[in-house]
Amino acid sequence: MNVADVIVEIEELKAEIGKRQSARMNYDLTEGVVTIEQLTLPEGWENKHGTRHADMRFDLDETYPRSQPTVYISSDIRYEGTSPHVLYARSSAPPGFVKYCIHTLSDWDPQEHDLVTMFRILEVSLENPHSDNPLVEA
Amino acid sequence: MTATSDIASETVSDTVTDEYELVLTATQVRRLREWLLRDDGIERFAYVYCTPEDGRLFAREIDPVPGEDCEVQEEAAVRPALSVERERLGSALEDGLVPVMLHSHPFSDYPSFSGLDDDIMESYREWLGGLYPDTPLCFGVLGHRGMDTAVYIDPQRETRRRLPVEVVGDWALEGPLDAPTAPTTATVDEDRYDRSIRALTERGQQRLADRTIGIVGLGGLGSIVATQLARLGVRRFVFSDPDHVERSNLPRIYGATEADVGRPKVEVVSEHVVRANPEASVDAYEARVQDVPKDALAACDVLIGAVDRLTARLYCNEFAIRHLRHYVDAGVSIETTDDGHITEERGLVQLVAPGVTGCLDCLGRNDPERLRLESMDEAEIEADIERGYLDEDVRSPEPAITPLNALAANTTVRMVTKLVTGYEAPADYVRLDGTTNEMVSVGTHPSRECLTCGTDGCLGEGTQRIDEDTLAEAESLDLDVDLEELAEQDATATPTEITADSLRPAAPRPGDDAGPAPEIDSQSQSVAGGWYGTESPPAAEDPSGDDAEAPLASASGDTMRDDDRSRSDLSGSAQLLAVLRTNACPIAIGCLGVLALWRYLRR
Repeated sequence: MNVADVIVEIEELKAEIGKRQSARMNYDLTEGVVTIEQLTLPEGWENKHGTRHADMRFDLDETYPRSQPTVYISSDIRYEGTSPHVLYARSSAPPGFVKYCIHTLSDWDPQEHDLVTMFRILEVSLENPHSDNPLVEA
Repeated sequence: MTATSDIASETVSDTVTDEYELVLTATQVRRLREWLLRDDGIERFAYVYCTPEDGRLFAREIDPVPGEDCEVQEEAAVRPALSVERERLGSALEDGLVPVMLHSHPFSDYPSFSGLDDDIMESYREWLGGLYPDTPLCFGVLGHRGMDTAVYIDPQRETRRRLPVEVVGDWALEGPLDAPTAPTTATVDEDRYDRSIRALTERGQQRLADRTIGIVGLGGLGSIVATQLARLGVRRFVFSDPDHVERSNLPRIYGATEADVGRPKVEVVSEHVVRANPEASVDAYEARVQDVPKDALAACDVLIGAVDRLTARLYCNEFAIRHLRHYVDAGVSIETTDDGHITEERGLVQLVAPGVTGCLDCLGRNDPERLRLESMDEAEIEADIERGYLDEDVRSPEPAITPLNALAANTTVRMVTKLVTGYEAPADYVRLDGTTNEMVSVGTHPSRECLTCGTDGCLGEGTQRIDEDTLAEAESLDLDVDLEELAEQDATATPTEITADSLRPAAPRPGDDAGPAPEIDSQSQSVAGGWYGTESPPAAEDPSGDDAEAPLASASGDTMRDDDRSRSDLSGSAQLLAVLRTNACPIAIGCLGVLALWRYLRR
């Protein structure tokens, strides 16, 4: 993982998020973790406090960007009162998070795709939690 | 140039320093030749900016200085304008790079510095030595076939040495480059290596003895590579593998026996290697390659990946690109039908000469699905199997047989031998087909777009540093960061050093490729005093067991040395007991004889 390149990606991601909403970002590249705090989710999503806010977490492994990040979201959110299949409760996740199901994207290309791509995929997927191939739609 | 020099002769030496080495790629040398050696016979100038790390200067960027930026540029002299020198040297030095100031002698095949060159170098030293006293001051002069170099190791002093040059992928040059080389101290046992010397020459054999080879993965493939290289005469090894020997490994790991089940693979293979070549020594890391200290890996002249994890291969690939080291990636695969019939039997051996041949990423050998699988824990894999995202068989081991491993290992060792001795240009990429018996050699080229070795990659960057620009960028983002911690983190694995002296002389071992040996079961091994002798417990009883994440191997290495000491420090009574145990039968017969004689005399 090239730290300088990832920092550039984070800068671009912050700008991308800033186009639509304000959210705070953290990162810890010793652990390969990028977190977006208090992201506003689309209509239909709700957390335990009854608001549409959630934290989003990208875990980048040591081979990033050759492999896509693993994505987690706050574990207390529901979509229209239910837990859709994108909330992957059976899989392991950091405390307070649940794995967000974007299984391996066969189209993932380290030359083209980055954190902004992943965020756009997530936005599309959150709009329609039953989307089959969010990468194409993003 | 014919000007005389004022430099006292004792300050200028033909001695080649062993404190620094300039590492260039063949592609960079080609570019320098194209720029500096034109048909017009005019001298030209270029800067080579280098990343310094552990005494090696990795050439990172070539910066040619055009004629309009030179104060003088003619047939017998060249020097950049002062403003250009200030700007370019200042910028490089402020970035922590070491500039090498290189000019040409287009009228010469094997150039040497002229008296005028000596004066100019001394004026640079007087100027820069006070400003950057900790940065070596390096110079070079290039001719059509050779290159001479100079370095002020301490630029506050007039003493100058020659700077050794290593060219990565030198076989790819149109013509060889004769340049100072690092001093060698290796002497070769001409009797032992007589047949090899007849093939590889004494110089070639000496090079093998003088190189450090790193092997990542000491399983069915890596153990054969290690054994062959040791027999060939390689003396210095660095091994990395976190795994322990399992029974199912025994048909393939050279040197492993039933008694080794549960022991770290690196130790078992290291011991086999030092038996094969008693002059060899191994720094054995019972760890993932990612956890081996970077300076230990960077000290390897060639890194060999014989590992089944793509994550480790990609790490080695990037490490080689960053540190301008040769990397040889070797692997095998067997495809079978459901009823166990072999349909495909393949081996791949790829040479990565950074900046000269294609790297793993240039050739698209990345596999995101495989990487994702390797990053998942058991719970995640279980969940994905339940959801149908993964097949149940992802947890099944791959089929493997030793003849295919040996085929790939032979190709790997031949490639390394050519690379090190230079008797022939090594292939870039060899594909072996075990079913059709085909061996195909393919040329590869680096890609400018490659994210690892391309224009925006990390060729020659050395270990990743968090520079001030990156820190400033992070601060401007107003993010919560701890880059200091990131900058300080480094691998902490410690090696077990294994040499022939670490081992007790032992009887031939079962499984040793030197020849057939009688079967010894693991129960009798410790009593028979084979591998570890009677003083050491069998390593299979090591409480660390099979766990690859267990604490690293330094403790067991110390134990081994302590055992050696304990053996040599046996007290007199203990030695007497040992003698009695060893010779119990003859002593008993002797006692009976004395008793019988005494009774006879009494009668």
